Amino acid sequence: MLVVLLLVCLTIFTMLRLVPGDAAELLVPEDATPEDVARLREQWGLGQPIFVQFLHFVVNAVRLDFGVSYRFRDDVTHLIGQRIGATLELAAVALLIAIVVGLVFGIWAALRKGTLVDGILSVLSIAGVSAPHFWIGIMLVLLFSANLNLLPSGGRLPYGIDIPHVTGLLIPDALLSGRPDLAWIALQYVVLPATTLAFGMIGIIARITRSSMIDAGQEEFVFTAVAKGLSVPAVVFRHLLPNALIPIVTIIGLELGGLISGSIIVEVVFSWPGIGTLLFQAVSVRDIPLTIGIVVVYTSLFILLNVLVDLLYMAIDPRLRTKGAL
Amino acid sequence: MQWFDLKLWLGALCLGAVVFLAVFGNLLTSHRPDEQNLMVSLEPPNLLSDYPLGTDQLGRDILARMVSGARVSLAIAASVVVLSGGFGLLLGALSGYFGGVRDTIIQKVVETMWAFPPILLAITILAFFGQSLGNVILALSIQRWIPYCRIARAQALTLRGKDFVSASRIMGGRTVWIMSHHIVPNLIASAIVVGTFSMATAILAEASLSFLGIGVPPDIATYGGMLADGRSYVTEAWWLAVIPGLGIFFTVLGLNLIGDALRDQYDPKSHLNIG
Amino acid sequence: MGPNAKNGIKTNNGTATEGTYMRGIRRGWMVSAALVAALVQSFPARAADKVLTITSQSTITMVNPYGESETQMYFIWCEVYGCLGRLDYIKKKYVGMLAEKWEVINPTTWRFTLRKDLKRHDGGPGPTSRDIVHSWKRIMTDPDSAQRYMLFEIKEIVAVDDYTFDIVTLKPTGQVVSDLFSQFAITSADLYEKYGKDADKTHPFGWGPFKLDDFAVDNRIVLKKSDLWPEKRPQAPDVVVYRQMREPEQRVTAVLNNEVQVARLVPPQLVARLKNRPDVKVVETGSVELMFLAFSPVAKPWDDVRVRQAAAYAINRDVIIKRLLLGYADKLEGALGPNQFCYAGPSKAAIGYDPQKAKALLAEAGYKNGGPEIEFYTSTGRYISDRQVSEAIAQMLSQVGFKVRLVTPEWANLWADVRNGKTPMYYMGRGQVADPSIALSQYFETGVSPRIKYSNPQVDAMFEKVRSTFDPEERCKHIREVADKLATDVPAHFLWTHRLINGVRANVTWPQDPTGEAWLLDVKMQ
Repeated sequence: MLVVLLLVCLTIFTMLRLVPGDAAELLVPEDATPEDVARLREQWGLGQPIFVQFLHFVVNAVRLDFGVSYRFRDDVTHLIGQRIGATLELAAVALLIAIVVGLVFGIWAALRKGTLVDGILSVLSIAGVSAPHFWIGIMLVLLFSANLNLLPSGGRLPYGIDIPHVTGLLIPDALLSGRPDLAWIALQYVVLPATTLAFGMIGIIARITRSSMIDAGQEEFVFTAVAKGLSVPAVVFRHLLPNALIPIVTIIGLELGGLISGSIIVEVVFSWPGIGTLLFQAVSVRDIPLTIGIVVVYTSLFILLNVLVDLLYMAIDPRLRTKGAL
Repeated sequence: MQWFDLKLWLGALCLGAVVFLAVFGNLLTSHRPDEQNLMVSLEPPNLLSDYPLGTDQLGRDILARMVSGARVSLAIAASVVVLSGGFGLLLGALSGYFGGVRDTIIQKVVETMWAFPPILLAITILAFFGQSLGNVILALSIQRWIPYCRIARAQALTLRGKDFVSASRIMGGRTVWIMSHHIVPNLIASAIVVGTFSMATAILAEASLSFLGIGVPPDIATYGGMLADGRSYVTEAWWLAVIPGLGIFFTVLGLNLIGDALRDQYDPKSHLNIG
Repeated sequence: MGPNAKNGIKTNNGTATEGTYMRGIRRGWMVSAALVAALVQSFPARAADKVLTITSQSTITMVNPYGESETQMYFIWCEVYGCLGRLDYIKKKYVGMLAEKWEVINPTTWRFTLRKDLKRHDGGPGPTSRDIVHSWKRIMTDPDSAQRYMLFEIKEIVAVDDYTFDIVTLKPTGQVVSDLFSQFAITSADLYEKYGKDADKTHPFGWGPFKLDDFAVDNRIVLKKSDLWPEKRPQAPDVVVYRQMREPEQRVTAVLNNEVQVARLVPPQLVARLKNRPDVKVVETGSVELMFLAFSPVAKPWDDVRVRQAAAYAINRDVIIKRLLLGYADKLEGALGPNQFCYAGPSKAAIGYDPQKAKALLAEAGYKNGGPEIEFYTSTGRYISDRQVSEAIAQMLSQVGFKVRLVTPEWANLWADVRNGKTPMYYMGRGQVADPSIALSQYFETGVSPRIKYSNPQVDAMFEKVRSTFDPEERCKHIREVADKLATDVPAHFLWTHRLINGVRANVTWPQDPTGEAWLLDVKMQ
């Protein structure tokens, strides 16, 4: 896994150093002398051979030092650190919404298999993955914010609301500090972007829940449970769902990539102050240190999440545990 | 079987409409997509008029621009699928067939490229290397070959041990022949399913890139670009944002329905492999 | 199979159990619906402080007050650190801020006297000449500084005593005050010596009427009213937040929801949403930002004056203003606009719309069968409808024969390229131009900046005259002469000034300042 991370860094690093044009010239003031440009170039080590630069980069990256952003003239790690909480919270809330709503729809469709409701839900779930995130976001804002005035149009918090910083995730922080009212406010701001991000995933989870529940419903042990007189909710929650968990976790694992890349677009559409909007700012002006830093962070996150999913697998599927597979 | 038919036909209908638009667009409207006429700007859609889908803020015919958008989306998506598919299948087959060090190296490359979240690389490439049609296709293909590689490799691995392959080898059959006659034909079904879904995501990705402004050069009309422009007009001229959105939606919906139907029919377990 | 089988799950209790379950589901929906309904909430009640949130179109980047050259940031740093003085665009006069008096001692020396009644935000002493000298030196030497151009005429700054100093210029120049006011922010020498550049972040203490409370890159800036400022304005807001919102429709939605109180730079197509609302009003002003097309005469084909004139004749500004900008722009005839000093009416030399003449000129210049190939650079999202305007202009140019390739880089890239003279033709605005001579000189005087690389000895001589004239009336006359000469030579074609449309909450009085910024103490909130 670390090898992959290293290769990832090498890939992105080489790619960016191959870019035509000179980053140093881009951001010097207009009456900069060639000496100024040269000094800037030395400051960022742009003159040395790529291999040496990469070595420096890796050594620094291990210490979490990605250099200074060209555009914001601030420490890259600091910039990312300030904003990563927002991205994580958005993704977490989106995942939560997708799982909860997806499960509900999936169970409902399974119970109503073959009826109109099932058909509608099936179509809706395919439709959900067919619409681009930015369109859904624009439409949701139009409906809930512009027309109904129910929810804010963007951003993360209004001025004047200060939530003590514990984890960087606003809702947990507010709850931990005993301020559920502030958590409520933060929730209003995250609901639209998170729903936009979750849209496609709801459909996918619903479908997989439905089909695995139907599959599981054919199993012997279910007949036994029903014959023993268990009520429907009990059957659903005690027997069917646990068996449906494995495919659901699989799907979540497969959708993680989409979650992360979708979050970039959703952040831009909603001006959500996470590292997605920061990435956009960085690539717009070819800010190499910041771009590399963010790409490495995203990729590490992705790898980490995949590992977590694998661990989750082991936890819920006893069969895997005995095999000792990872 | 009934459901399969319904999905397939529905999907074919949606996709077919878009393909029709792309291919026969010139017959539907006499305007060019970049033809401006400020005097008729912001006309609402009116099926009987010269501008059936209305005009945008520069007086350009929306129908003509939708035709252009359809062409761009389909052309880019098809190129991406062909390029990534061809490359991925070939690489995967070779990797599985040869095994050993070559296989390990290729798999490491696969793992590395797979570790990047999807659109991230595309954004970075286009922002740093410039926006051109070629770069867009490259940026979208750069990770899409991996699923094909996986299924091809799996197939190659299973076939490697089989008798008839060993027999071919003994008889002096060349690698290429073996691959094209044994390995590849068994992949067609899976590859088509993967390809259909891959095309759908490629269209969504291209639209997102155009929306962000780093897709195809802006003088070409694209769905995403039209949506980005139309965004601020959404209360005054709803058709500027809604129509291109529907364009993307129906194209992708069609592909997803077809892909779903094909998968149900030919490859039911594969949804756990595609990703 | 029985009627229950269609649920996919066989139960032996059939309808009764299912009914319970479905009731449970329905209850679930009702609870969720109630939750959603509870989200119908007005936004959090404001604290006792009066908070004014204003939208910012541009990206908030550096906390270094000398790191950007941009109207909004100049205004903000003047409010926080303090500038020598500012230009009151509404009353059209120069008002002292840190300086209380200034006079010309001899043609190359201006003497300024600082106020003595100011205190620094952390309780430290008021501004002294030492701080002025320090600020000047920092702007000229800080590698991140983007403001050197405004001080390039200064030879040195000499402290006469603690509160008096002289600005000595290289050549006699009548525009020292216009160069410096509303732009030259003064930072503390003491704090810089103690903390270095970190002072910008950790000790951003100045002498202005507002303190810097929070600076979140790419997000927002928060200012708090300072009690130490002598002039008390109880009606002005206590807290001012500049919130970055790059999307225009988001700005409008936000002001309608009271998420922000002032939405600036509203594009014409969104104005309708602001009308007919009792809680929001539209505040419209003219602008001092000149929108123009630049043609660099050192690059082909713009080296031929006929080609430049042809491009100018090709453009139908009226139809763009009417149909694309929906009437929200004022056409410029010549390099001076009605909101600027020295404006005396439209310039008779300005070029109008005449596509036939354009074609004829191109033919004369040797492009009878298809015109020159050109690259046209423009920004996207920096100015109102900039890309659409450029697309319309590009088409008008093609209609007379030019072969146009439209290039749309991100603003920061474009601005850097323009500043370094790498873009032969572009669409841009020049803001803060109450005194036009500065901007005109920046673009059209030889050697001042490579933005257009126009070089005409006649015009240079005129600029000299402008600079060395101290009598305002005389200066204006010379400036108008420069403008007329530029109109025929067309190194740039001046198009229009946008009307600045602001969506403002009904309980806020927003001054109608043609820069689009406001002296925050003049803002009134109820």
